[in-house]
Amino acid sequence: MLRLPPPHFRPDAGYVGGYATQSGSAGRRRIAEDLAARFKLRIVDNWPMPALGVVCFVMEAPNDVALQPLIDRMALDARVESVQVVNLFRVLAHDDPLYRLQPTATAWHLDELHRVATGRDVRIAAIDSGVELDHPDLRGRILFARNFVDAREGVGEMHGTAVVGIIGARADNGVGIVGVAPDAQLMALRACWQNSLSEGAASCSSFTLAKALQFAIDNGAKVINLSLGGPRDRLLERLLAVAASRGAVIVAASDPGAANGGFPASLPDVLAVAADDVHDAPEATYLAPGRDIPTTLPGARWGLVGGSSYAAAQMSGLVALLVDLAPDQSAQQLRATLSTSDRAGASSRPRAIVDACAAVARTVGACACGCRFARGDVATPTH
Amino acid sequence: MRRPPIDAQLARAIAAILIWAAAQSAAAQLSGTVAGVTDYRYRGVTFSDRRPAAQAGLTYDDASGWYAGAFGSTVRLDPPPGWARSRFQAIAYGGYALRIAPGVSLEAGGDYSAFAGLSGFNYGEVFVGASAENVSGRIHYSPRYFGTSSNAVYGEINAAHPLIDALRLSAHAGFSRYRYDYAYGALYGVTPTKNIFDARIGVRADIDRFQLEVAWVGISDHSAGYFITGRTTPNGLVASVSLAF
Repeated sequence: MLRLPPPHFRPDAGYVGGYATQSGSAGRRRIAEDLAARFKLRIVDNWPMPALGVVCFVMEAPNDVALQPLIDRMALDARVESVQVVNLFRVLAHDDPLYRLQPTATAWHLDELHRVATGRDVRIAAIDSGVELDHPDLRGRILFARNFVDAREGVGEMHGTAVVGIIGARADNGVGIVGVAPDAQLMALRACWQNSLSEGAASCSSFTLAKALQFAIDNGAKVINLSLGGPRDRLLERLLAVAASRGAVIVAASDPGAANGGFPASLPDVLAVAADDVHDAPEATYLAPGRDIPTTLPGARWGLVGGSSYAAAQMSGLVALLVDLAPDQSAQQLRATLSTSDRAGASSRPRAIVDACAAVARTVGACACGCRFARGDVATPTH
Repeated sequence: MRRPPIDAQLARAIAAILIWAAAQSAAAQLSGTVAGVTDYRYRGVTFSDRRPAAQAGLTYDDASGWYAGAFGSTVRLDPPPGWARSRFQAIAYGGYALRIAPGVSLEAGGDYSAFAGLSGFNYGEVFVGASAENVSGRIHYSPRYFGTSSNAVYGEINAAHPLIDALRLSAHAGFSRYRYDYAYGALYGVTPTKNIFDARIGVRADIDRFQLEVAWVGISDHSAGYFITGRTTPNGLVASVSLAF
């Protein structure tokens, strides 16, 4: 990363100021080329990240070079703001084909919630693999679709299509499913690529994720869904902190195989979500339905999916409903609303099963589902 | 004695900027542009008699937030008879910019503008401003605007909006308020105080290191021209191509 100086007065022709202008980019390119020559690297890509005050240059090292000593040496160069390795991440879904055949579980009373809120005009960024934009249940539902992996258009992949369908598939169209937030504005940001056409596994990298996060921040995403995990990444951590400081709610899937749910789920600003059939989820993790979830699949199909990826997608939809109801509430208030949802009436639990009806009821201060209580009471569903 | 082509004070200032920039830490960034414009509009007023002009600029950005730069442009300034003509303008500037939040910064600085052959019109300004990701605003104050004994204030708001990947909409709105010297007012029959709005809206494309722009420039008072320009300024289209280095 190289420093992006704050914008300032320049009398150059037509200069209008602001971080969005490219002034000085040639000078930074010159520095990057000099660094690449000095450390024997090849420049792969670059893009500005005004939110962090840096320009990210991705450079490729020869295969036989040890990365950590190289990073340590580069960090000593005064022109370098920071330097890190490009990490790999993976989406967090079950790969077992039979898992999809297990019984469906429904717990959130969407019909009743949708009488109160549908996520109208709440922007949700799904940073994932590609989404089939012309799927019958998604057609016309995607506000922005961007590909940060390659130059192809309309890449429909399993994981991204499934996640976006759960969040915001069209309601009342006579086919398929109903998204948790069917009127939310969806941003389908492809930062991951499917590893095989036959499974839901996909990989992502630090820099595709960073580009997608930057786009989500720039375009006012109120909810950012990250159904993925990987090693701790400084660049992504900084971008997520900026997103949170601007009021975005970040929802991430908890990795059942990683300590504390892995990265980014373990970050304090992130709502970590695990599937409710996981028995050893880390503390401060929300549990949402995580298996046999019907959703959209590429090829204009629907199918059942399971895993914390999809539990997180449902949580993102629910957060959009809560934001729809109370746009000004902070992420901390949202967290509190969700955390105290304990059907047994006990104090809040470190691993909270999300009670969507109770969370909505708390937000509006009135009954939301199976209403048995007067306004002001905390309502719970009548099962 | 032959008048120097450019104010010696300014030439020294620019030389000092260049030497200082060269001597600063390796963490600094040096960048520049060369450009051609179909009409050099300065705050809405033509400085090139609506003819093409060549421009160049150099900016030094220190990692601490300090910055300095120099800018030069060909001009066609023909004040009323009795005054020399000027064919070159140079501006030296510097200041401090501070990032106060992600994507938001404040700045304060000053600039000094000089005209070859017309050093009596040279003037300095101070300014403060704020910038966000796609918008910036600045207020300039000059105690001796274009060498007169009168002060002037210029406020501006600038914005850019991405259209597609390399294409952006750019917009500028400016307001200037300044007074003529009593002597000038009496001599040329102008009101002592002028309030002038100027605006610019354009489309710009970034293609590798080139930037192309086509913009419409408008001004609220077509007869408005600083005394030094000696001519009127109609609304119209301007185009520019610049190369960053």
